Amino acid sequence: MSIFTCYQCGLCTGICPKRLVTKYSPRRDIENTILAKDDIDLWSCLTCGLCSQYCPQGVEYLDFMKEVRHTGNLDQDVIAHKSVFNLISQLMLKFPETSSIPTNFSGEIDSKGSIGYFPGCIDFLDSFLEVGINFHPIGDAAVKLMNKAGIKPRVMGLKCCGHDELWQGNQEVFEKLKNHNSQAIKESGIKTLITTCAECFRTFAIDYDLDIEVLHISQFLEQHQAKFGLKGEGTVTYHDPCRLGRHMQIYDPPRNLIGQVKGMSLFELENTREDCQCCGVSAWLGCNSESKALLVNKLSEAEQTGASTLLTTCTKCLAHLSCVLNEKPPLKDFKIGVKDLTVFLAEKLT
Amino acid sequence: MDSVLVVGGGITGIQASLDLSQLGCTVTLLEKEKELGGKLNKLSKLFPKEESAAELLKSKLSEIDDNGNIQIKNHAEIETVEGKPLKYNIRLKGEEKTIEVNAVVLATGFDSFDPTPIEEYGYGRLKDVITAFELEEMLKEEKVVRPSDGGKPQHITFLQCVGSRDQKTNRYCSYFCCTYAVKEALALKKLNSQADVRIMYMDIRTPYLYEHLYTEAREQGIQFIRSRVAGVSEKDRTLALDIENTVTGETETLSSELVVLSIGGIPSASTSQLADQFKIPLSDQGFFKVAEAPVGSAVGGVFIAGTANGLKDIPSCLAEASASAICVAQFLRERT
Repeated sequence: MSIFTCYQCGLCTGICPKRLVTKYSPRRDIENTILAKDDIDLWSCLTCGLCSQYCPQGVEYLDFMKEVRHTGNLDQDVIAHKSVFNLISQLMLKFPETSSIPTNFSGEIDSKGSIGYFPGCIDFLDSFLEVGINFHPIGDAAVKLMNKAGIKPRVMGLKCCGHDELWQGNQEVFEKLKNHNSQAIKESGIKTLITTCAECFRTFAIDYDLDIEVLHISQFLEQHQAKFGLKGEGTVTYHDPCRLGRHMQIYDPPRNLIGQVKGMSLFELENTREDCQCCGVSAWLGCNSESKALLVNKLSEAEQTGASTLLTTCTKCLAHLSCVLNEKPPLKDFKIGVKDLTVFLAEKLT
Repeated sequence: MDSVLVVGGGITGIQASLDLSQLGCTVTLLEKEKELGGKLNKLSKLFPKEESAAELLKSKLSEIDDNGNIQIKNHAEIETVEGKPLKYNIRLKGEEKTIEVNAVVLATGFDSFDPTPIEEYGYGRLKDVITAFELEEMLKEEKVVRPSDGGKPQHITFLQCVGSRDQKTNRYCSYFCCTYAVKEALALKKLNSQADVRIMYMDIRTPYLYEHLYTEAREQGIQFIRSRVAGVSEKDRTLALDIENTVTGETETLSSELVVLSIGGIPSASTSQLADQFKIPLSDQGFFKVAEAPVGSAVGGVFIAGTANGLKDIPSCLAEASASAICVAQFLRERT
């Protein structure tokens, strides 16, 4: 439903994760938009989708945010890491023939295959983030697992998917990236596109108009789970990224895969699945004390499960959570570690 | 003598039976429970005049007792329906003989909405979250306590629109919840004038003649906070409610010792089966559809009265009950 069906009941604000750390009110943003007032806070929303899920009127707040942000001017200072990731996207468009995401991963690759794998911005994160972990192994792990499933993926040297540009309101840049990538995907002739990042997955599946199958790696691996023979020991917990869970309603495949690892147990977070709390940051907006407070809440909730590792299926969630764990001096004496699900599964191959 | 079947022994079915009898019909009144009365058995005092539900029921039941033309069948459910208007053969579950009737009044009422699936409100999980119908039974005994510890609650909060005006449960407004919440809030104040009573609302809908109750509630110091509560949790043995006060725009966590869910209503469980048996359509909300106002169904000779055709208050149920009796009489006169 559009925002014009809103009854102004305020349930959205009452459930918004930002209520814990700011005065942000989704309801007020809707009211001010309907009344054509200028006072609209375009950039506080995490676009986590919790409010839409519970809205009695079924208002699609995410669609509203996506649209309304195009009309605003984002203060560049609000974007974390000096907008470096935006610059990378823009450079890719500036030099379309030469620049795309790196595709160099170990394992067997079929450069003409029909199953495409898009690793997203993992190598750029390695270049520009110092958060105590490397992201490149996500791609290696994905190829390794796909090989184990008997598939040689075709690593897609696309440009950035444009997720962050889209949610930062840079419609023009997003459209260019989308057009370029859509064309490249079409020309490649692939039938399936697999991503390891929940953001890329949502973007290709919803915000692009591709006529091929788009899968998150957890869905793909689940289809082949009998082939892996996974073994380990210990306990893990799992964070549902907004982009995989509430945006795409994919909750079971990651859990089923964790269930395949003999000797390991999954302890659920207190707020899990549909009610999973946002990690605290999206589209590099507002990385500040507020988002850190939410990240600390998330990690504390994960520790309370008693698990030693928090797994997730979104490269960005992983980056933000690792960043807080790596903070110096430490924000809190955390005992828990965080890890990408694909990397975790590849380590458990026997 | 014309013979009429009335299905449902709540206040609507009782009134319809009494009026039909006065109009010269013999009536078979079916009730699925062990006794007549329906929802009235569970209610304390009725709005707007604080009339005792028990007294009202008692006087209607004594009228029935004095009436030779009404045959009551408790624990009764319809097994099969054969025939057509003017001559229906009805077989009850567990009975061999069929009942022959010329017309039918369906007065099957409504079922209370079960709030358990709205997990964020904690009904069934948090002991001190109760429904307004459960509060009604406490008010009847004039003893309102917290189910968790038997203590007297000082802060009591009503949550409106539970199972109403909500895409995930029922889209429609249940009509009576605002007025009964205001009524119950006033009753709580009467029992304990020091109690803090709050009503969390989206819009207060106290239609027509009930507006004065709303005004009185405000006069009595009952707080009306415009907010749809996002979630209820337990903290230090009291309940915590996450809200945005949409008048002030402040986000806050309110604490309350007792939370009352103002639950709406849904079509009674037997509705779709009866609709099949009598070949009458349902409305978009799932109640029997009124084809001809006020109480005519799409099938001549089958009439639907009270909350069986949509949620309403008791005075409206009584009016529809009488209307259905007149419509039956008119139908039989014209067709025979």
